[in-house]
Parts: sequence; C-alpha cells; structure tokens
Amino acid sequence: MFILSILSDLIRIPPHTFNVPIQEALKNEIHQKYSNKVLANVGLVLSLWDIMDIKEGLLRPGDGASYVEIKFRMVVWKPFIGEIVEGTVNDCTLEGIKVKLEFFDDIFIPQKMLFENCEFKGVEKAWVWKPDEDTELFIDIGEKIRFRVEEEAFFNVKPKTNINNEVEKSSTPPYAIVASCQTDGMGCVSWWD
Amino acid sequence: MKVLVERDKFLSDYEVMEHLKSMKKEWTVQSNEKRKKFVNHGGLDLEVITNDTLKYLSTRPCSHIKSDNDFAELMKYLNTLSLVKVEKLEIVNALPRSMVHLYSIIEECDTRFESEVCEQILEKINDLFPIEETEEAEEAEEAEEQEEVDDN
Repeated sequence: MFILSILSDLIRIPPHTFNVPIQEALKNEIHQKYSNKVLANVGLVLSLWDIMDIKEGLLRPGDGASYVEIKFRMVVWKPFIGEIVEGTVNDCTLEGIKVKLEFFDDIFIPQKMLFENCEFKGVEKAWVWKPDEDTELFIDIGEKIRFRVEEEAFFNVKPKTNINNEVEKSSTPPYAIVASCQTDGMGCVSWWD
Repeated sequence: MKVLVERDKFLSDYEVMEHLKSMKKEWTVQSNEKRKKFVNHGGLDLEVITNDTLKYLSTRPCSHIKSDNDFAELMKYLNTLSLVKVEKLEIVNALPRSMVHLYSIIEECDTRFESEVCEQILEKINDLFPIEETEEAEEAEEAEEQEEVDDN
C-alpha cells in the first residue's frame, strides 16, 4: 500500500544548478537524498509527489550554494497491519518463508504463523500444507503467495564508519515485515482460483 | 529533516503507477532533448526504485485498469456500499475475482453483506476490467508447460 507523507527539510542547491528552475533543482536534490531509502517509522520512500511550499533561500558564509527550506510530499510504501499483499516466495527454511516484492525483500512468514498442519520438506525445500489427509499443497520457491501483514519493525542501521575494517556486517534490514498465512484465501494465489 | 505527517493520504496502486510512468516519460523526453549535455534527473536510486516498482505494479491487477473513467465508476459503485475507506482501497488495488479473495479483504464479510451483494461486486469488477481471454489461456498454457518441465 502506498501513502503520502508530508516532510520538511533544508535542501542545499549547488551553484551549478542555479540555471535550471528551482522546482527542477529541488526535485533532483530530493530524489537523490530520499529515493529508495527507508525513513524510520515512515516507510520505504519512492519518489517526490509534489512540493507544497518553498521558502526563500538562505546563504551560508564560505559556501556558494543556497539553502532552501521546503515542505513536500513523498510517495512512501508502507503496508498497514492487516493488509493483504501478494508477493513471490524467495526462500523456504525450517523457520519459515521469505517473501519478496520486486522492490522490497524483507518480508518473513514465521513457521508458527503458517496454516495448521503445515510441514517443511527439507529435501524439496518447500512448505507443504495438508488441509486434509489426502491433499498436499506445496509452497515452492518462486510461487506467488498471498499473505496478511502482522507486524512491522524499523531498525536503526548505523553508517559504516570504517570501510577497510569490515568486521561487523550487520544483516538486520532497516525495515522488516512479519506476515501470516492462516486464513482462507491466503497462501499460493493459484490454490484459490 | 522533519516528518510533519507520517500518513497524510492513501494512494491506490493505479495512482502510483500513473505518477511513476509520467515521471519516467519526463526523463526520456529530457534526455532526448539534451542528448549531449549531462542529464541529471535524480540519481540512480530513483531509477532503480521506479523501474522495480513499475515492474511490480505491471504484474498487479491495477495494470488492467485502462482509463480513469472506469476507475471512477468502480469507486462510485463502492461508495454506495457501507465499506470502510481502507477496504475500498484494498478492493481497488486487488480487484478480487473470486469470493475467497473478497472475503479475505472485507472483514466479517458474511455477516455484513448478503452473498448477492458480494456477487454484484465481483460482477462489477469483471464488467469494468475484463481479463482478456487470450492472455489467460496463454498463462494457463505456460503454467502447464512449466508443470511438465517440473515433472520431468
């Protein structure tokens, strides 16, 4: 689900863009700063929607650029709790299923949030749902899956301070979603057609 | 940076798709005009997320929506029912074609709506945004082929 968020920021307009209209210059600067980034408690930012207000530019001694305070709206991807989303199965492990969308990868369905009578088959690397004795429904990698959003979590990812010293490579994503697959209509899309 | 309003308005998939498409068009026009000059339209990140999102949206039901009028008509119809705003939005985004799907979107659908009403919703969606037969047949064929490959 996509939403609009209102933000305000002080944007630096570098001197070499003084020849283009200020809206264009601001648009480029905003896109470079925010696009494809996760804002804590807001979501994954896609692009600018519109600029609502542009204040007068400010100058700073020793810098040729102008600083402009603006108010603008961004298109943000942030599903709400309880939303039904469709994605592709990325990986199946004993812990659960990893789901990805084309632009967002950190969705996880833990094993306890799958259907009852679900079983993991290590050989085939797939989860199997047994709605009754004789039926076996497979959730394979690459299959389209429908799920309900249950939880979301934001982590503060610290910037890399030392590039040469790659000791700690944190694997926690800045924005992760926990989903469930327990009611009718959930699971592989093809089951319910 | 300050976040003034976290969730100002909801957007439907269709609106986002149109917005991204128009943005992408702008770049292409710009880069054609000033081919020789250095063109800067917002960096690599913007391009990556736009392309990925458009790819995602093209697989979503909103790609079946052909015109704004059809979209508006569906909204007008949904407004006549006592649905919550979010539910309407989800219907518009998902365009459910089957009962199970509709039931999963609308909470307590069986107590709130008669089954005829549900069928009417599905019918309306099918009327306004028909899935082309050929496409479906092709997909089915592809799926069968895939299965055969898998079996082998």
